[in-house]
Amino acid sequence: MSDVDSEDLFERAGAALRGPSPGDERARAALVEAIRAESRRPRTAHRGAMSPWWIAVAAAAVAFAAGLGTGRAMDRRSPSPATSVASDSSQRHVEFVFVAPAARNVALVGDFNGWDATATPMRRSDGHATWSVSVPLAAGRHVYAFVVDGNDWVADPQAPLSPEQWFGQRNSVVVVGDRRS
Amino acid sequence: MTDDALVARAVDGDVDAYAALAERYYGSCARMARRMLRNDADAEDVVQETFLRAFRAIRRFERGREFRVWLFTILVNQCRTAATSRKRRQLRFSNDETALASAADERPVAVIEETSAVAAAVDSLEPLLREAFVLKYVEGLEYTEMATITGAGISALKMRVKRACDALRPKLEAIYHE
Amino acid sequence: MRTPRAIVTSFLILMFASLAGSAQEARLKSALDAETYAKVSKMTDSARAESLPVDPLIGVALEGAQRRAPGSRIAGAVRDYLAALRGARAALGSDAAPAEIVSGAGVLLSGVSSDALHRIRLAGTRRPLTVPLVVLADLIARGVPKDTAARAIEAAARANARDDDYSALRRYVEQDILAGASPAAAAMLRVRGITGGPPLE
Repeated sequence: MSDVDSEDLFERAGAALRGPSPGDERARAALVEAIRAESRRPRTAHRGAMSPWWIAVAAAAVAFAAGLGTGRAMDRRSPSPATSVASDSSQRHVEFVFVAPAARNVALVGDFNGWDATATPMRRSDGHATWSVSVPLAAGRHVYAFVVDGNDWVADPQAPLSPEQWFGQRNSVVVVGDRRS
Repeated sequence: MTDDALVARAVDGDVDAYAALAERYYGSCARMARRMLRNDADAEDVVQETFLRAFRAIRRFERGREFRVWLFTILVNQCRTAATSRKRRQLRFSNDETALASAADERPVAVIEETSAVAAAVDSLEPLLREAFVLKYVEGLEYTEMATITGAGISALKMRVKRACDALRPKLEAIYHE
Repeated sequence: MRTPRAIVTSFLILMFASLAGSAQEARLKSALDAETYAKVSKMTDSARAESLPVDPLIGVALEGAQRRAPGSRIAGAVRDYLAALRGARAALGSDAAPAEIVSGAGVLLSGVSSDALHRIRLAGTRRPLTVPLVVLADLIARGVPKDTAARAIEAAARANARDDDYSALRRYVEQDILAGASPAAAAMLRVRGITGGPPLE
């Protein structure tokens, strides 16, 4: 058998398997119903990552890509004495965003505020689904998390995970670039 | 409406647009799953799970990607996972399933028989060869698309397709030249 | 010979440094019980003497305190982190930046060998490794086998990838895994977008 004949043979076999199957109509309808049911499921704070695309991008862009040339980090030198200590680095304001429509309060905790859930409360905005806060961070790597309603520690669904799980839970990582790098 | 237009609406949260995509691609996903799992009920479950996972992830879908390739990436992985967890269960032969379905099947008998025979031949291939053959000859995908979907390199995929064809040739010749 | 102005400036910097350091120390002291504070202080003093980053160690201790972890667990975490920082500096070289050392420590804590970390250093001499190492740890946390992830990052470093490339790699792999792809396959395939080569075997 020639190569062309061979190819025809396999194409013909492929075509034979492309026909519809009985039961497809019913299964298709069941699928559409399942999709609609899924769309009606309420979202929790953990599923805040599935909110509109631009929020996810905004959070990713500012929380992770700050200092990496995206232009989203607000670049403002802090006038505090602590800045003059870091003579090899600079501070940049980084905006953290978290979507949690059902939360009553959200706080940012991290190595930059002693993991104190009372130190950096986030502000609700944008139709009450989004929480945000802007903090000055020194250049380098920082770990952080969000605390929802006072006791639910949640990693940022948009950011890299920290490898360390010292206390049973991973946090998130943000890298702040040096102005001069 | 084109896939791109439907996808754009689905990304923005339009459930009807996503449902339209699901209806459009249900058939090709179902036939892939049936070949990989060799069981209609399992195939239906896997296909539904595939579309639900894609639905949950659709808002992160990057425009410019091809929806069908992305969807098949999910499907192939779901099929592999399902096949692994089913290893200990007894498999029913596809011939039996076709016979059971034929009561509601309005296709001509000759078509049913041809489909059944070809399906049995393809089903006898080992999983990776079967997967490659179906993606190439049933779904008509390019090797670059198959590489994205399966994670395998193009030369590895070509080898799998060749081996599948070599194994199928005598069986298909018997089916079509009787 | 230093000018008087340089001396005053150095003094002011040292004073502010000790003030900032004191603030952290004070926070640590009030957050921990006396015994745990003593253990942790000893370790942060060692780190300081060895010119290793101290802030991450204090951060871990404060996190533990906020999460109400037992003192022994906090001290253990600081001890393990200090060991990882030492290992990271050994693998990355004494001229590694503090952020690289911290990220490298994270990679070692993920189970990647010192050799693999050292190979990444050798492969990527032209750019800082902070972001690549953060991405490496993230890939492993999401299920990519550590050897596969390390080889992917090494390949990217050899291809002189930029921070944006690593950022995109992480995002694509996460998206693929979310969509049902196997983590290993996702990583092996996606790094091709950076190296342009065949998939890693």
